[in-house]
Amino acid sequence: MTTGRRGRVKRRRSARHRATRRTAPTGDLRRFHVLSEAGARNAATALSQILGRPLRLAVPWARVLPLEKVKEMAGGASRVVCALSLKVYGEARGNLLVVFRREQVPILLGLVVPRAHAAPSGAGDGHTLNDMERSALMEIGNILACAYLNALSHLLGVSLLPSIPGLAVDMVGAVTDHLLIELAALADSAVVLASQVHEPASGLKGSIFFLPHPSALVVLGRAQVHRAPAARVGR
Amino acid sequence: MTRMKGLRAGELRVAEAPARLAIHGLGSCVAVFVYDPRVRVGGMAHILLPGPPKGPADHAGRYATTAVAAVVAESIRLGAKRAALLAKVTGGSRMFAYDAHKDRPTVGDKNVEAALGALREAGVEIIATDVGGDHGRTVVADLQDGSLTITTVRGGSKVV
Repeated sequence: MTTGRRGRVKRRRSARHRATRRTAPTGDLRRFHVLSEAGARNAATALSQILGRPLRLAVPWARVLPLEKVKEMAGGASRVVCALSLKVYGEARGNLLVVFRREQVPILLGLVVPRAHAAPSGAGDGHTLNDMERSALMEIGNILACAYLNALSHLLGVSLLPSIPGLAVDMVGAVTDHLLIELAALADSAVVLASQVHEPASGLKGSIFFLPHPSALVVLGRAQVHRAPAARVGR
Repeated sequence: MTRMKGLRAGELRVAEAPARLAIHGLGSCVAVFVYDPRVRVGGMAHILLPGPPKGPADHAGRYATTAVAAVVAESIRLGAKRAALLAKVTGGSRMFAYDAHKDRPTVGDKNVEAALGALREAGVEIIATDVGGDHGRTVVADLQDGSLTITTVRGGSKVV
């Protein structure tokens, strides 16, 4: 076996050391922050128009996280959420994850499909969604993702395309595994662009995470940060 | 209450009774638990990928091949006998069903296969598996009795 050396098991290299393998310079983080905000603003605008209600945008951020901390980004590995996962194709590949807390699924469905949802199909627990509810949630994921990526496309001057969303109601740890797995072969840290949209009247809160592929960081670093974001959120 | 240690992605730990080792929210990653019931020592690994990339590899805990070798070696160092080691494997789910890729083996499948292969190669008997599916798992390994408790969000937990 290749790992004969003792003590290798638990001794892990320091975060600082690991981060050197593939990471983003600080100047880039500022650009990523702008991208994160522009994307979320556009997503919030889209959702706001669908719901016919004003939406707030909560502090967007962009950070470099050690891989093993990615699972903690959406409220901890054990928290149960409704997650929509999309692959991003084009000149800046990556993964988008749209997350709502499980308790919010009925609120979300109530806003989008009020009449049909008059007789809930057990969506309260979030696990027994019927086809129509699944499809409504996936459509919301799709709209948020497209709006988000449109803003990024605009700022970067590149084309970005989302895949069809995958939907899961499960623990944060479980729905973020694939993000880690994809990055683990390439890097020791993950660049995470995060933002949150908030609908004050219903208390609806959704988080959007964009994890660019390491090869996309150069493209993202070219963002024109002096330009105003493409769209405004209705307030 | 006995102390419980959480394992993050790519981490592995060995311990002796009465310790418990836990992984919260295991999706397509795989958990391998090995223990020696006689001396009640063992360890668990939270594996991300089947095998390391070419070249010098660190992060033994990330890859099925290196993690299994390391957790077995460390358990033996703590007093376990290789021949007495028993293994339980769980995880490897497909969390998001993208229709286009339905027939392809997922990374979860590959992780499970690699972990089982590595255990066989290490000469460790596999006594229980709970793998695949489309749901996450929270896994608690108890060194006291060698049990592995698997809880899902759809309710219900089972002990293997």
